[in-house]
Amino acid sequence: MNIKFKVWFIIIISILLSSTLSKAENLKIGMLLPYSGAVAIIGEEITNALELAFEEVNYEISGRKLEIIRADTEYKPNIALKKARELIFSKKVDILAGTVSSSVALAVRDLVVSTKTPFIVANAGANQITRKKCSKYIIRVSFSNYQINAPMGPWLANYGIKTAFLLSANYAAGKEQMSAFKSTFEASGGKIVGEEYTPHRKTKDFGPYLGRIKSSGADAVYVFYAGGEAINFIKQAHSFGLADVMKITGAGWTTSPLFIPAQKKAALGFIGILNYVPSIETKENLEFQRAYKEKFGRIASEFAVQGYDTGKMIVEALKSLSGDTSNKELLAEELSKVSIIGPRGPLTIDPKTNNVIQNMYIFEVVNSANGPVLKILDKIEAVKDPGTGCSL
Amino acid sequence: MNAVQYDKKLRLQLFIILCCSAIFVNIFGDYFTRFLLSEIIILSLFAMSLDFLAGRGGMISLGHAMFLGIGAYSTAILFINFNIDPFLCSLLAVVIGLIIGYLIGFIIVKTDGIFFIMITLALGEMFHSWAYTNDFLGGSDGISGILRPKLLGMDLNEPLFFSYYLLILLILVYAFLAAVTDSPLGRNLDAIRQNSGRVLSLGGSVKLYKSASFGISAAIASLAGSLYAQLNGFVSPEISHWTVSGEGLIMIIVGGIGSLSGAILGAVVVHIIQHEFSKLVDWWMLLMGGGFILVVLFLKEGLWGLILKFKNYIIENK
Repeated sequence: MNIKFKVWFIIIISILLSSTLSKAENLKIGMLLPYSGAVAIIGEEITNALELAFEEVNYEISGRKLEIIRADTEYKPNIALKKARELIFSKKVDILAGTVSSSVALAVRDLVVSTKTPFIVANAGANQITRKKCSKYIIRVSFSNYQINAPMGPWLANYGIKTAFLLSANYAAGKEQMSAFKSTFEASGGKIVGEEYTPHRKTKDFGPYLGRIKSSGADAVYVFYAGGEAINFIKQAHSFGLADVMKITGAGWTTSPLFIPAQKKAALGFIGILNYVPSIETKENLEFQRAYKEKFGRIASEFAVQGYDTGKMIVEALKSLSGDTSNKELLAEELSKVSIIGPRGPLTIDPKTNNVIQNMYIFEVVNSANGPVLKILDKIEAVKDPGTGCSL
Repeated sequence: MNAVQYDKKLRLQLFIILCCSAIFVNIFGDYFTRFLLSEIIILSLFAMSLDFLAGRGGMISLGHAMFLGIGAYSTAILFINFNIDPFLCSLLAVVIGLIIGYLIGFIIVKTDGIFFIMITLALGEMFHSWAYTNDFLGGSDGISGILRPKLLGMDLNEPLFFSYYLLILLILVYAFLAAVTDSPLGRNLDAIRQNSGRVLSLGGSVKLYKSASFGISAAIASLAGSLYAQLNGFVSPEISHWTVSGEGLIMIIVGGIGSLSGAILGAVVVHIIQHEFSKLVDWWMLLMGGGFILVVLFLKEGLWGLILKFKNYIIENK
């Protein structure tokens, strides 16, 4: 045996050995969110706040490092599905979190269930995610569209609103939110006098709709918009003088803290409902808002809170397993057992559907020294989604 | 629209090289690479259908993603609502695409140039909006739960088999399009593209040829859509958005319009670059755009032109 061969032999053996002596691997969290395009801001908010939750434990659980892997979904289901595949098969993530869009969540649904990857839904609100399409591997910490809007029906009826006009963008989420409100509002004796669905993300001029709403003579208009459409609608309704003849109400995203800086005084008087408003006065929320502002220089929105709670739940579940993620079924089970008190209040996961049980806040936009803020009018505790058609 | 220099032999050579590398990747790749390969093959089918339409027929369609959508949605509905065998679903999707494509083609091929682009764009957007708001089609959330076929005892839900299945279809479609290109129909289309007035005065039926080629192209796009739905197990309206047609055009321009195998090469290159860039920076679209401008400015015949030059250089220096 010559010397050259021996050297090579030793090198090869040592390479083979070093690969088997693996050290503790990182705990990988795959973030499936839009980081480019029009809704990139929501992806940023969720990731920022999740990092904040991980910083509290110094990115470490039982000696294993927490690692965040970002994947840009571009808000497109097919791209997201590809990225999810990459995260699961190539990056071997332990937990998937994210999706702003419901269609993205539904696109990756079959994949995460068949690969038994715990998937935490941090925003997407389509009812069927925790109803017909529910799974023990899918845990939703954000909301269902029904959960947000249903409590508003009886509340508004109680408030003295007898007739309402529905207005929203023409897509699945918009229609789900409107039908949730409609069902409970009508059950409480209210009457819907008209509904309009505008082209999604394409409507710039709300003039014709505002005219119809005004002439309908309803006591209130119930709207849901997000992003540029929310800003445009609120501003145009203000200059149209809609608030003089009826109450402007709706799902709370319409006047999210992300959009209020652009809507300014036009948003005043809006009554909305949401799972979080920045003005909640609890120790957890004040501490969270302070930390967020210190690091990112702005008020945390409801999207950020969902990201923070996602992070908290991951940390708690991993702690209770001492960082052992080898059994995915157990991990998903632990995730669904976690209950925390977050900035929005107490959170538990409904064992029947894996959808979060949380408080709803009814707020009004009022003026303050620092511009318009969301003032809490009422709190409805422990709201659940009925979860029709789900069997875990 | 000028097509690239015609070279039958080089076209086949390039295609064989691409197929061999696909087989190589499929054997040695992991689960995710196989998935990526499947996606690239489907996009290649789409790029080839656009290439045939633009390169041979001289018709630039910005609404071709509509046929992807038609194929994908018909597969989804036939499978979910009517419980038809997935393989049969794909075949039916091709037939549906062919019929709708031919009918639409029959009406719109009269127009030319920018008007043709605008009409196809409008039709595509109409389809997208309709799918986006239609409750039966699942609206913006789409339809999920589409399964892949089982053929000859092989379950194509296994990614290795599915990639081979797609590769076989790619070879069949290539052979078909190459045969059509070299047939009297292809020659007639070449003539129409260069001077449709003269063909008309010679007694050629311009409208028939053009709408036939539109139908063929639509059928192949529809096949690609059907396969895409089966690959993802899911279909949503984004598949028929006009930006998808735009991406398809970028692929064939990068590859070289009218070269068939160049279109496949374009699909491979654009898709891989897109996938890698999006991991690097959040503003990767800017890089893509810049790169595309450079290709248009300095590589008029795309990558195909580059390969052709390389081949001629070797022959000269022999």
